[in-house]
Amino acid sequence: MKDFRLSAFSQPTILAGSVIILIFVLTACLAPLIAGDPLNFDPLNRLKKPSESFFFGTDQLGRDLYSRVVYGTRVSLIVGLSVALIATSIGLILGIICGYLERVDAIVMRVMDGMMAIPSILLAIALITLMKASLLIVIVAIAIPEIPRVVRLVRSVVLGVKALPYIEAAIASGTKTKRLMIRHILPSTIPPLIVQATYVCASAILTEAGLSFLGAGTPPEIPSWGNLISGGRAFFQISPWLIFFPGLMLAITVLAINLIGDGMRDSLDPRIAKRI
Amino acid sequence: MSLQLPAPVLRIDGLSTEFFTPGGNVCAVNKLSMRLQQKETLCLVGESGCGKSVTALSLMRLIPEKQGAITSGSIHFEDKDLAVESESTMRRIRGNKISMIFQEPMTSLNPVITVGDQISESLRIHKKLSSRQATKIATDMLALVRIADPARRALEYPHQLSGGMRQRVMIAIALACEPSVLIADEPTTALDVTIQAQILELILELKESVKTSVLLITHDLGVVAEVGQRIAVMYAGRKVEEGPVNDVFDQPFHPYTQGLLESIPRRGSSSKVGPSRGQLPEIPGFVPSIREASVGCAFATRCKKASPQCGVSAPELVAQSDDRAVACWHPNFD
Repeated sequence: MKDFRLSAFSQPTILAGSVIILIFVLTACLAPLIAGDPLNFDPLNRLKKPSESFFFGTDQLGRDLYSRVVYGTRVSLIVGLSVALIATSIGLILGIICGYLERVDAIVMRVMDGMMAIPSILLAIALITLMKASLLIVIVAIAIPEIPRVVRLVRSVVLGVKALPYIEAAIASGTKTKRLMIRHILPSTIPPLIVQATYVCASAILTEAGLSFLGAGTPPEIPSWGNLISGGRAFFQISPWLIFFPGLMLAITVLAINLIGDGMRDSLDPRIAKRI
Repeated sequence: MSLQLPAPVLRIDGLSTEFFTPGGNVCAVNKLSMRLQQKETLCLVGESGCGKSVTALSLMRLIPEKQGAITSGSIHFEDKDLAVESESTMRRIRGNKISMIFQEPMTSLNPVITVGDQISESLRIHKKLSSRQATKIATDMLALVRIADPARRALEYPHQLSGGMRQRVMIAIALACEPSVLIADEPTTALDVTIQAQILELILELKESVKTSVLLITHDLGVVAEVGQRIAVMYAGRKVEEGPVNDVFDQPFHPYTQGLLESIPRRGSSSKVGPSRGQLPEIPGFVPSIREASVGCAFATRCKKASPQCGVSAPELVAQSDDRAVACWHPNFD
């Protein structure tokens, strides 16, 4: 593990991605200190261009776009991290059980196939319309469609590891099934799972923005990058900064997370890295 | 006063193990009977595919459920019949009373767990030791299998150890709970020759100190001569000859055993006659596929002494003296 930590940060992609994400995390945490009230109306300063007093300009109601983008960081990061956490933990448990117990596998994997057949954004919209839109519901609705891919990944690793001689050796020394799954099989699924988690995180941030843009995501009183872009769409031609800045932040965040994911993949499996 | 043999540690009676294939059931082990005495080393020899490893897996009841099963016979161990015991009883026996050393030290250790933890695992499962006690015994076991600096090595992962050291770790795992039977399935095949000798010596030495009986599975007759007390020769799923190693090596009764012994390359050894002059001696032909159920003796097609009788009925294993038995219509008693 020590060796991995060292090599992880010697990867320039992980380092670059981590620095960017760290800046966003700090921004989200320190939002009240570095930005004004994102909901403060100022009818005299409507649709102002970016300037010294309004870094990113203002929207049609005179709200400071910079403050709104800063607060929007919170939503994106919370959604990204929680979805990654929820989807990978549920996926990990289901995947290990499926890989090990054939009867459960037959049933669960068919359900997963069914879920994968529905586009994730449609499934999320359906789930949100069933319940009242709130941040928690948005997170759950985005996490559920992400689960099948995690389950498939974990299951495939388990199926491969299960056939290895050291698992037979563990059975031959009297290890029980539960212990076998947790102690002997689970650790092998972690490296690919970490990589998958970063991709889930990035795609969750994008999905949240997409949902908010469609008006099915975060409620309007919480500024998020998605509903900022959605709100700015009508005034795009006269004040393009309204969608430019939130869009830029969205792109940078997703790029940074993907950089970390790629770097992790390379340092966790050096054989692939050398071939590419 | 007659000399009474002590009760064997492990007694196998008429064990048959079959595998289910699309072409019908295949009998990999056919009515095998064997006794393993206390503190003895019994060598099970035979060429690839003769059922040696399947015998070992049957004893541990590790035959994959969907692919095969023990179809008849019994395995007596400590008043239990392992052939019919429940899975949970078997789990208590595996690694505790009967343990196994696998062929491949490179792949039989879990790459993501330190070797110390892998040794202490069976102690914690079977002896219910605390993690500190188990770690201490694990370190002692590493010292016992002569790994230098055991405390440091215990914290290392398998990839940091050489092949010979990994096999020592496997031995430490197998012997940690002081089992009464140790099954070693070709423990030295994957190692180079000098390490082979060290590992065999180590197994023998630990056998004495842990007071365990060893069932050594091998195809290397050199190994048998060095470490075995008794030898059982298997051919196509059946035991064809059994006896004390020295006696069998001096005078093999079965033509197959004879052929095996003659096939050991010695310096200057070669066929003395015929067109094959200059070649190493061998047993002609191939092992018959166990898919084809043979009526007669399975070795008949390759046997120099084969007679019409051999092709019609299979010979039963017949005791020739107190400790020797052979399954052949024309045993070699010269």
